Amino acid sequence: MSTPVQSRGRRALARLLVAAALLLPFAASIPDRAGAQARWIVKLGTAAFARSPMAELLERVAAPLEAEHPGRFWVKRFADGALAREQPALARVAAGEVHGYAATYDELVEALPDAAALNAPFAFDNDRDADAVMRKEGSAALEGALAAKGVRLVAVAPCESRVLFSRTRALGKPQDASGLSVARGKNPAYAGLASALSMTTADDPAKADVHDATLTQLAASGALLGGGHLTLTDHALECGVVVLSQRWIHGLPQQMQKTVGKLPRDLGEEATKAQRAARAGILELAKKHGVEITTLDAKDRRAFVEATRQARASLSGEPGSVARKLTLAAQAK
Amino acid sequence: MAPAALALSACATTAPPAAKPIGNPAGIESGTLSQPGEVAVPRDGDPAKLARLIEQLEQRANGAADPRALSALAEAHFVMAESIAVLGWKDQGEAPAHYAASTRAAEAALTAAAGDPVATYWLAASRCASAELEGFAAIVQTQASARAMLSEVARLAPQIDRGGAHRLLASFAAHPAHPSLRDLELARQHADAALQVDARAAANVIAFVEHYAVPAQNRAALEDKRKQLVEHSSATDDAVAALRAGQLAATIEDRLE
Repeated sequence: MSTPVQSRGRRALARLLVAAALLLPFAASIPDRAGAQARWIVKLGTAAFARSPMAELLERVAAPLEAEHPGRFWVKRFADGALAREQPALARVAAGEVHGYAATYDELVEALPDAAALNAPFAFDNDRDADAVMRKEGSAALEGALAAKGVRLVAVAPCESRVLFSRTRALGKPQDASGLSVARGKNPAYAGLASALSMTTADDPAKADVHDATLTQLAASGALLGGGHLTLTDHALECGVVVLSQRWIHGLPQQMQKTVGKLPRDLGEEATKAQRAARAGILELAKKHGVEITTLDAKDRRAFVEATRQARASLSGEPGSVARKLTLAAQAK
Repeated sequence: MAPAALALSACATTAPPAAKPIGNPAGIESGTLSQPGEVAVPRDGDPAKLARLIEQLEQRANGAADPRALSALAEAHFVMAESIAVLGWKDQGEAPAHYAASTRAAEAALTAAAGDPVATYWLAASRCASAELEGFAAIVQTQASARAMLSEVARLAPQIDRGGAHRLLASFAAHPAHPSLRDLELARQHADAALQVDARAAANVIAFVEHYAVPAQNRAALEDKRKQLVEHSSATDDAVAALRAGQLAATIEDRLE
């Protein structure tokens, strides 16, 4: 039989347990033991594989936490999309269940549909212009929109541009694509490009004549192994983002918040360099497998830019939107 | 991303030879060369034994284009490279040279016997292990062709390296060079297929955990394998797999939510 004091104690314990259950989604950011030297669990994840530039970016987030607060953070690393099985990763970051995440471009667009404007065809003349925009105006636009969703933008990277690969013929001019099919993607930019170049869309990527993809994606899929025609259009920009949970940051002690706040602004540049460094090797691989490689001269590029004007306009969004800010920044280059 | 000790190479989950290797008559010591094709490459953690075997195989390979000896040489160099990298044998810088030698031997074997599945397997395995050492760009360039080669090996001779082709295919499905290509269901099918080839091979248990249970965060599937990892960590027939099994068992909670 329990005494009144014991009963009160049990009720208090029960209330504590209920409160703990309510805080469950936030529980991973609670120190894993009590006291001044409590250790904070940090869950960092990415959809990319562990040797990728995206995963290495997360290491650059983890390094100062572990170095400046030895033994205070227990950093758990999850590559290969292990943290995004049931729910979109960025929603989990906003909820504080995941503390840091390197999201692919598709994951970014899923959370922030306006980011589709980055994929607007032929918005940038070259990587240098694209990088300059993403370093300043692009990052600022994404930062504000992501903050409104409860996540803090740490880096925009890695960035890679999309190209066109065709089994049937080189696509050196806009009219070369006419009548061919391209895989239908979730991103509205795909449909815009298809329409602008008079292509049809195919539901089954395996049956599509044309692939609108990054070089990394083409190489990894094996598409380049059977010959074909690769046109280096570099017509659309894909960037991942590294984000942290605002909810988690606000729950950290002041000193730790300072460390998080000191993460360098150019954190993503190495990742983009590493991603692009793969390009030369992929082109060599393509040549070795008999792929014809076409580059666009200035005149042909202008023809593509002109042919896709409407497709870009359709992605430019409402005034004040992220899409509009990205579009205006690109146009200013 | 993973700590160095656990940065498991997608191509490094090789298994020790089967208890009774095909073509290895009873009584031939592991690691000795008797007749062509009758070689069991030792994986018990003895560098001298492995070095002797490589020397013997190289002498034989210099004398005649014997595809079996060349394939065995490819395997021996692969095991040497893996042992240097994982067990800390010799200078770490020597591992790439052994992977490259493995590739050369496998290519020579395929020149002598086009389409030979054993040589094809070691060619794919050594190329992607080299790529793992080199980094992202090399992995991107290598994975698709290795996948094509290993799909054929898995179809024709899944028993090579105790289910090795299925292990590597599981790895590619779980950790593709581009995330849009990830297919965990396929990874599980290949991991299961490797276990069907040999459920006792530590490398196959590790592959199931690394290429399916962890990426899927499937604790239920993992529970069954934890004890096996601990048991394999004290195995003596495959030093590399034993070390990896022990490391994986010790750190698995770090990799689960």
